[in-house]
Amino acid sequence: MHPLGVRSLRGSTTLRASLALLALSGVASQAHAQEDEGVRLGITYRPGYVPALAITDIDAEAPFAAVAAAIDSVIARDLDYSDRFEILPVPDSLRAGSAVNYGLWNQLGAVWLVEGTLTVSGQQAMLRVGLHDVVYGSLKEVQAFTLPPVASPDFRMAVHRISDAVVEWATGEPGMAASRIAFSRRGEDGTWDIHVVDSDGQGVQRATRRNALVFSPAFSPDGSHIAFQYQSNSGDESGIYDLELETGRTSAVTSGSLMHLTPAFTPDGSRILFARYASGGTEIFEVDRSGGSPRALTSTAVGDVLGPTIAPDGRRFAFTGSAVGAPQIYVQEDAGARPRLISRFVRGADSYATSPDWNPLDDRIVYQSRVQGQFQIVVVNADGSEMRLLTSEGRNEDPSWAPDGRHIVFSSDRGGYHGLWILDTVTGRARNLLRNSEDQLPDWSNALGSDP
Amino acid sequence: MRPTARWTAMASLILFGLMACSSNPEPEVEPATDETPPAADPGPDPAELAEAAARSLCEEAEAAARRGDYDGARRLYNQAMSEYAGTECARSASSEIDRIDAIETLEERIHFAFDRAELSDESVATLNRKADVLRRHPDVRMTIEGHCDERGSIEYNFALGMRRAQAAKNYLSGLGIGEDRFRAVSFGKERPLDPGHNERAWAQNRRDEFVIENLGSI
Repeated sequence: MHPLGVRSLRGSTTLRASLALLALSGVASQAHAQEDEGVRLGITYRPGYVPALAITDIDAEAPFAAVAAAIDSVIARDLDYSDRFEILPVPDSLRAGSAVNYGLWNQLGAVWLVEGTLTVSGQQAMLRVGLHDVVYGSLKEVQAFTLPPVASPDFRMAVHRISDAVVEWATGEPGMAASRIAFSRRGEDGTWDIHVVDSDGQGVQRATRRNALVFSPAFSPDGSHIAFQYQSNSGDESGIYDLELETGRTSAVTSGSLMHLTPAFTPDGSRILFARYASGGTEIFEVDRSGGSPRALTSTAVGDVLGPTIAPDGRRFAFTGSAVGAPQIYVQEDAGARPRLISRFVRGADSYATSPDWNPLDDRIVYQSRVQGQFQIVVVNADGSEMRLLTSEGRNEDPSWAPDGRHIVFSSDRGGYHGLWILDTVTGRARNLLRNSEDQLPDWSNALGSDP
Repeated sequence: MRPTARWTAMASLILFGLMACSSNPEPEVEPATDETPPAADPGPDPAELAEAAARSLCEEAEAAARRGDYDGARRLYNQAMSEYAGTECARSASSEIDRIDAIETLEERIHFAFDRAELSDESVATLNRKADVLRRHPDVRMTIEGHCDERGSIEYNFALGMRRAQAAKNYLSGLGIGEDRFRAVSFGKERPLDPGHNERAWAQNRRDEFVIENLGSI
């Protein structure tokens, strides 16, 4: 046990309010009891032990102290945002130092200690980072990372990758700091364009300038391209387009007079699944990334089928389908196979479930569902088991998993702060990513390697 | 209405491309100066005066029709017929009213229930009237735009709007109107008619709009 005893369990929220609310409405009106069946879900976060982590000042020669401090603050924030550590305030006496005194750090309550040294020779900057296991009194990992010039657009992303390395050393699991989120932003003239932002809310960039109806961005697996739905303002043109982020070049993957929407790359990046109007409604098709003739994967012929999201195995996919008369979430094994309903549909009730996103690491799917008349985020296993409510406040829509498989980004007006939000599905901790009510349909990239 | 308020209202109308729905009061037509001139004064020819007054009524009427104020246009044409019978404007007024009636019939919106794309009895009656006009004017082409209320998800509403547009297109095609005369598009919930957040606004916004692309012989 730790000298200072139990660490604070950040975000140990067990919200029973929604359960109480459901119980109340059941008493108030028997007639509504049936409707509530479809949404009888509780919010439960079961945070485990959150180890404390301390970061000392990065050691650097005087001319590079400012750069070192900037790197320090980025890493500290990344590790905080990872929601896997309690970040300890470090007393001045221990901020910069020579040899690590495990006893002192142990007394402060630290479980992990991160220290680093920045060396610069010419244009080349090198950051040597060590992770110490304070409890065992040993250096767990150490690695030297080459950094691009501070002015380089990749500098911050390079630092994020170091943060993710620290997360992986300490937990054995991937981080998500080195990633981006793409989304649609509505302009003042009512048109939409794709924007991207780093996972920590920095570096917002407009990625398309089409001044049209540009929706549903979807990152390619390596994060270098974004597929999106394009529709001209008159509705004359529609298609799935591909954007190369570095050059800003766009090209049509599919186009035609019929509506094309909701693209998603397969995990190997070779194909794009999307929805297109067929007869009676939209169906899901797949097409080679470079174009060609699309192949139908669904043949529901009743209502709409859209919003495909593909399992890590590259074979199964989930989607929104409305064959039962209201949109619900389905999982299908393969092209032409019979889809299986996984959201909870109650005929005659206010059932409405859309916008699924398959976890990049496991078999869980998040989606939005109407609960008590308001959209909330729900997580469920691909077989329909272990359904759980993740939000209860405000209107919450269009969730997308982070590459760490535990955070989600979604649009929300919770607490009156309308914009994009990030939620840790383990601790329940939420943070505002961008505060702009015109930002919608976020898609979280995979971890971005150094050479996308 | 104060000028600034009026400008704001106009700007938002332009934004939504809804000039057709302007409810701003239109300037009253100048009262016709139809006093008979004193006999002694040769003055202007009364017939010419009547032609001029009627012509200005017709111009007003055309402007009103262009704005989508079909009731106003009809009122002006009727006024021309009753007050300036025999003028060129009055002689053409009756066919102009027929023309406006046809355009208004073609443009009449149809509405839908929440999360539904089925045509109501009322919508079927509206589409039947459109079909009559379309049969009389075989060169008319239209874009049918499906729209949704704000309550569902952005992406799902695009699909739902397309089903609503296709429902009208399929019905009209089923009546024997050539399918190639219609283009179905969806704007999802992006272009609400009424920006409100209540059932009245939602009911207005769940609709098909009919945009005439080619007036043809109308």
